[in-house]
Amino acid sequence: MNQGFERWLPAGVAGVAALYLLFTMTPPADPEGGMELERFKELLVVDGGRFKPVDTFARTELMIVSGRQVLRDTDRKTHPAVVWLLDNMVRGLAAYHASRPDRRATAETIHAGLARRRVDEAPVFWIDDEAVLGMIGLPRRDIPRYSSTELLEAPGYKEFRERAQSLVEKAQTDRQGLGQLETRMAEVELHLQRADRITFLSGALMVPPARGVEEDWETLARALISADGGVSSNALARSWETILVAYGTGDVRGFNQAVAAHQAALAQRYPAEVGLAKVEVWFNDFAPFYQCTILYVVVFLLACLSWGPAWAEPLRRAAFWLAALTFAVHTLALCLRMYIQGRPPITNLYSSAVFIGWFCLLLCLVLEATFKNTVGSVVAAALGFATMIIAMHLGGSGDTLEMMQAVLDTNFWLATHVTTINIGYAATFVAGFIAIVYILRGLFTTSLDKGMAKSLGQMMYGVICFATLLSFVGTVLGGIWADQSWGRFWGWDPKENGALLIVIMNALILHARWGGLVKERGMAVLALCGNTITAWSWFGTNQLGIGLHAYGFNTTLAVGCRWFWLSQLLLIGAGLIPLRYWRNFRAPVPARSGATRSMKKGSGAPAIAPAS
Amino acid sequence: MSIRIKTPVTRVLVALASLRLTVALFVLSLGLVFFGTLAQMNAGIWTVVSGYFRSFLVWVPLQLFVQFGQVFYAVPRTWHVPGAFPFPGGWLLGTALLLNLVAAHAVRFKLSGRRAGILLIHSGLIVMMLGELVTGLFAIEGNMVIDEGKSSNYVEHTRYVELAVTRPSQTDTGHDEVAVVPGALLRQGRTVSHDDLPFDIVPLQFMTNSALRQATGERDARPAMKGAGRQYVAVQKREVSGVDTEQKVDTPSCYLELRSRDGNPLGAYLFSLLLEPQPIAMDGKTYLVALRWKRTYKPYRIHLIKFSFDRYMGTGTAKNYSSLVRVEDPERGESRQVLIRMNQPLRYRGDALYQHSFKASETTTILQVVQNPGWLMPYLSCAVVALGMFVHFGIGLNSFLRRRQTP
Repeated sequence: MNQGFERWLPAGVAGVAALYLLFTMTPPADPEGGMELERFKELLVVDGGRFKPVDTFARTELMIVSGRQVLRDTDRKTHPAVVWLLDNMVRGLAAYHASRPDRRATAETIHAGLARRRVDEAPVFWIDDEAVLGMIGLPRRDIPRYSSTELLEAPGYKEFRERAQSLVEKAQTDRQGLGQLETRMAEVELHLQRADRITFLSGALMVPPARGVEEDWETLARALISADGGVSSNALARSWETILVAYGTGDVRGFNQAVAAHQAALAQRYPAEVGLAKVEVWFNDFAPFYQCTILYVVVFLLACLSWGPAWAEPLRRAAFWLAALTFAVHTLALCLRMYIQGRPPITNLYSSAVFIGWFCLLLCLVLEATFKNTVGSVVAAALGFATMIIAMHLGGSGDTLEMMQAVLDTNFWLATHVTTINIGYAATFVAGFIAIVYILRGLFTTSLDKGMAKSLGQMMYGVICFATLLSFVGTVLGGIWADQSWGRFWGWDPKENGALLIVIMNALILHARWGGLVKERGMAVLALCGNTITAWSWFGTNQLGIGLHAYGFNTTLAVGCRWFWLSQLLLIGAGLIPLRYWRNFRAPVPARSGATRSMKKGSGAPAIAPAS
Repeated sequence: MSIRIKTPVTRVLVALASLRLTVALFVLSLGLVFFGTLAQMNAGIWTVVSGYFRSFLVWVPLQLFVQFGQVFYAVPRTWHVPGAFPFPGGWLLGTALLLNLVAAHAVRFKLSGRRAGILLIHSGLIVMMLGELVTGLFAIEGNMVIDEGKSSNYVEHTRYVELAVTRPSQTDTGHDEVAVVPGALLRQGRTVSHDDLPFDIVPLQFMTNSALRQATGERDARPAMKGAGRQYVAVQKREVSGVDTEQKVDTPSCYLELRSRDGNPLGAYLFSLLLEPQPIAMDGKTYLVALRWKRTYKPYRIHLIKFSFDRYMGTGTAKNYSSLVRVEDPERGESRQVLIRMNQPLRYRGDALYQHSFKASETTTILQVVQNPGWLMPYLSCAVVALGMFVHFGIGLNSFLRRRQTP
């Protein structure tokens, strides 16, 4: 094999990936002579109890309403979420201006502009429920996004809104009283109301108090009405109005000047928050977790290829270096989230997925650096990809940097208990996924020679020891937190029990191995049980209360658990197939070239001996 | 194995010390914890704790698995499978694990550097299991409900009720005379009579969890009904389950018939946690009778100065709850101001007082008061076990790395 190629491939792969990342990291520039939307994105608003750039607000709202963070217009051109936000806001402002004689002219110009750009015809509202579509009178579509015009012209729209509105009100007092269809109607109505609120200029708190920083922010609607009513004068409400009028009338210079002035005024009063908002906009545009998802796929492919006939070592190293690079991006993203939020890494289910993925990767990189058999990279890529997909599903329903409920508002316990327990989850998953590699390679390939089997066994064992330590400490710290916050160390509630199950499972595996009851294969089967239990603890326990009483507002998690458990059961079954049916043990093991280092050393060594 | 002489005792010890037994017990523990979690779909957490974890044997209903299937595997909601199977409970498994552990140390383990980690882990675990035992046997929890500007010196135990018959103080400074009947007696259904009670009590019906509604047609159906029972009807409700999100504690109600000491009926009454005390006249004296949470009086008083509920800007999301209180303890001459808030309890005289909840008016705080002599044991245990794991796995990792380095 070509020596140069061997050295060149890993560096080349990492280099290309780094270039790609640099490209995506560069914030998009505003077109020369156009409206500076990139600057607009950074304007500070308050929503969900926290300061955030208007970009994040627009993205999360559009994500909820439309299922994606960009707007596609009638010409199939994509626009950032703030364009959708601005279009809706100026429509609302024009309606307000139309009611005031002195500003009726601007209202007409704005309306004309909106009509010219056919804003109302852009497909935005995601409605995939057949029954609801039938009620409104909309046709079914493969990609069920509908425009405002379509909705307004649909025969049953008005009646649907009236009915659904009363359901939403009912849900506030008696959520479990809603039937299945009613729940879905309420859900669609809630999405429509979000868009309405933006149009009514009441979507987020956009206007700071006239002076001082102590008082609460106001919605733009309220601030404008009190300003026009002569109750108060707030310069920042006026500058929002200027921004919107300039945008609506297509006044590029006026828009850019007004945005700059507004931003300067905010920066003077909220310097720290404005700084963080800039970072957050950069983070949003970079979308690091999305980039990671792509890179994990590439790592996985490279790693799998390295088990093929040629270029084993360069491909293995390429996979490893790319995994390391992805890990760096993942780390950066995690740190940025912590910096923006001023909190330890895990604050909700979404961030637990992000963190667990990150830690799995760290653990796998350590394993790969130690064992150099590509298993670390494969597992890293699989778990990294899986956790990113999970995070994507969890993040679809709102701001992922949301504020914490009072009882969780403690950085100390978030940093200790929550982090350790999630490291415990991560480690248990890593062991379980190594087990999958063991079983699949043994069943379907002839590559599970003695050395490889031993290495896999050692990896599983080491990771399980680590998992036992962390899940135990995490569980007990949780108990201590509970003791600190409501005086009960152990309450046997479902979530606590879930954590306890993981500890017992890991202890069980270790004792079974020490007792000589299982060797590598047995450990692999047990580690798969660890997978199912960890999924139970992470997501399953949350479903019990909801799943039973309410007609699942969100059944994705329950369905996810369903298929994950089935897959694990299938693998456990596969692992229990007698060895003589395993391809690996059926045929005589051929000598493989390019053997891994641990193989050479491990060959001929006895299987792991029971503890004395 | 270090034991060579086979006496019956050592044979039993060796059998008890087996790692197979350990693994089997772990498997059973996994089952118990899982079943005990599923059971919380139907029953209150305390029912489950005493039925599954603080018991020797539990009958696990098969319906639990159907329900599991309904949540995760789209099993039809109408399915019902009768029957149950026996399973070892928490006390039994805990004891067995403890014996297994002690036997293992007696038979197999010698004191040596390599074994130090295991010894630490296992002794820490013993402390933890004993801690759970102490908690299970001795811990007492209750709530203290205080309005702003007022104080309280008793806690209420929301898992137990009592019927309180109060004769209000006849002088301005004097104490009320109170006689209480434990809820358990009312539940049993036998007539209660006692020298401290002005009348005998015949329990008619006891509801563990209930709601009240306005009486409409029933007034005529129950002619003997007196007091609040003429206006309201108690309706039986399902016991609050461990996974319920809306209701957290049961609200019991009961129908009682009162009789004078010489056997004359005084009428049937409805008593409920949801009702105010009802005046009942007897021999020219007026008594206030009410079903209320069981109370325990404390040697100190807590005075609520201010309750605060902070929210995040523009949302209803809670940022913090806190109660500014004054602890008043004449016995010890204490009178100091303390802020009790989320995650920051007040520990005083063996009790720990936590910010637990509040009433909708946001001027009444609910503190959780816990007395648990074993509260420090988990802290100790956690430190010891963690240290033990560090030592044990550290030794293992170290020798693994050394083996890899030497070719």
